[in-house]
Amino acid sequence: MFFSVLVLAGLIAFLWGVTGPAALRAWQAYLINFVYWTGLSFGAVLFVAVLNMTNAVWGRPLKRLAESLGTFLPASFLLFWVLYFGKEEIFPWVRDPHPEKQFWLNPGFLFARDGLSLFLLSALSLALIYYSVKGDKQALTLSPGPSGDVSSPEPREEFYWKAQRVLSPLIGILYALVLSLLGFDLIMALDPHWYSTLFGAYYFMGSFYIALAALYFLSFLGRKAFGLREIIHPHHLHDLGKLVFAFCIFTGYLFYVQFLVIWYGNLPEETRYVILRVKLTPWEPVAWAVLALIFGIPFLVLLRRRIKTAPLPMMILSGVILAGMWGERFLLIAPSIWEGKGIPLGFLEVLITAGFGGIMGLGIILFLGRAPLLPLSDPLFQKAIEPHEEKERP
Amino acid sequence: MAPEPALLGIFPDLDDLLTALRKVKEKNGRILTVFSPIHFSGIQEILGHKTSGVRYLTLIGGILGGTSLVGLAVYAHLSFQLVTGGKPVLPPIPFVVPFFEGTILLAVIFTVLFWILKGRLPRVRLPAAYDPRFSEDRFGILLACPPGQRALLEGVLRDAGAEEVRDVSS
Repeated sequence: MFFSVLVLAGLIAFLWGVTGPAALRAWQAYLINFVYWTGLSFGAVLFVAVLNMTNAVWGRPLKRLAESLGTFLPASFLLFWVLYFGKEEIFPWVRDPHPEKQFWLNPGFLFARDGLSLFLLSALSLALIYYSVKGDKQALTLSPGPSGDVSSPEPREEFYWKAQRVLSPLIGILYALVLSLLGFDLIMALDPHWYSTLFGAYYFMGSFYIALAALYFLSFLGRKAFGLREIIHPHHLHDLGKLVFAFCIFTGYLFYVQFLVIWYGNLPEETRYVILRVKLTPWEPVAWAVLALIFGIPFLVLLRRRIKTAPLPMMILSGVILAGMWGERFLLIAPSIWEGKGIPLGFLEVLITAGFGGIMGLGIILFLGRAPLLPLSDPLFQKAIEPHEEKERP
Repeated sequence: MAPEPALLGIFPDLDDLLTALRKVKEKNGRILTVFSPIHFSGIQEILGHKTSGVRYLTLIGGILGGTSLVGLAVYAHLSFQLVTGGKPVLPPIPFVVPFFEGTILLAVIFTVLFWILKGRLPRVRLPAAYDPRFSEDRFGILLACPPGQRALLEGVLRDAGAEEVRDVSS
């Protein structure tokens, strides 16, 4: 109910925005939220794919929660096409075409290639989730022991597991390619004269960071709300906290490597993009706030070992990272589109963001209400929930 | 000082070693040392050892390394005062690189040095209880063996899964 209200509020705000005087702001907020939530959703599926590819045992209890974040993808695919109606507001190169880039930057080709890419990656991601859940449902009906012990998987379950193993590397490769393309087309090309060859990697790694922070938040919430305390142990949270810490540093690093090269080269067509965001009004304070929220605060807090398993501080920190990364996407997009005075951040943006968050929340609730909460058919799951002597007492 | 009588238990499995350690602690046996081919902090926790102080020296090394390398860069820049590409003489942005490198470099060097010192390495003579298999695939527990307790302690080690128990002098 709560999430439905959020979706409705977001929809009304968006419709009011695009049909009223604040059309640019509404489309801008829509694009920011599209790249943010879509990246989050794909990043969460990538987390599952990486677990499968690396035979990782530690994160198996988090698998279903990560998959629940991937349920946004069908909505994301539909929401992408809505952008077509706002192309003239969003993409400056539609209003002011660049003949030398006409081949790449034209609406028909952009929506065709991005739509096809989104379709491919979404289809593979949803297939991964489908096979994972299908195998677990079968395990639940075949051997519903109280401990959930599935020591001898049935042949069908083996097929589902093999399908996941085949899909995972494909998702890993496509994730990098498709999200790079989205980063280049939907964010970088908003300023058609500026380019950074690392921008695609920066976008997809940042998206993975957002997904990890969301999963961290959901894991603490899941322990309480879904009774997963017996399954998600403190050492799982500790390991996930370490991963969030690692990607905090890696995201900071990917920003710095672009920043350093632009600073050294000192070419006007490159520095312009950075100076607008970090030196000029009104964006400068946003840039510093974003740096603190996505790098400074998480880095200092996550240095401590014990705090990584403390529910309240880590849920707050995950919220800080999620808000900071939203601000980062805002900072990448808004200065390229917005020409008015002041920072375009108000109720309209909050409501549209809430709408997207509502779709994500609805997906999570519906999915977790229907799918088994434990990945019982996963051969590595049983090993993952064994008591861990070393890390039970961090 | 006369050598203390001790009992060495050799285990093929880490879980058996941990079980033996817990049982020996329950029986108030005195564990002189544990041999392991791998680092496993669970052993340290069962023994009740505090975290090593080496980490503070790592921190000191890191701070010293970062500041000294940036200090060197600042000194070099101020000595020549060369303005290149319109950049300031003391540019903070690229100084992040030597700061990071210096931090890692001295932190690692300090860690290795104090690890060597704290481990009293190199050892010319190996401990009497040392078995070359402890550097391959076996774990060992060396227990103080007071008179009259040998049978009890050997039973504990055997029950936990020791494949070999023998008397040694520590």
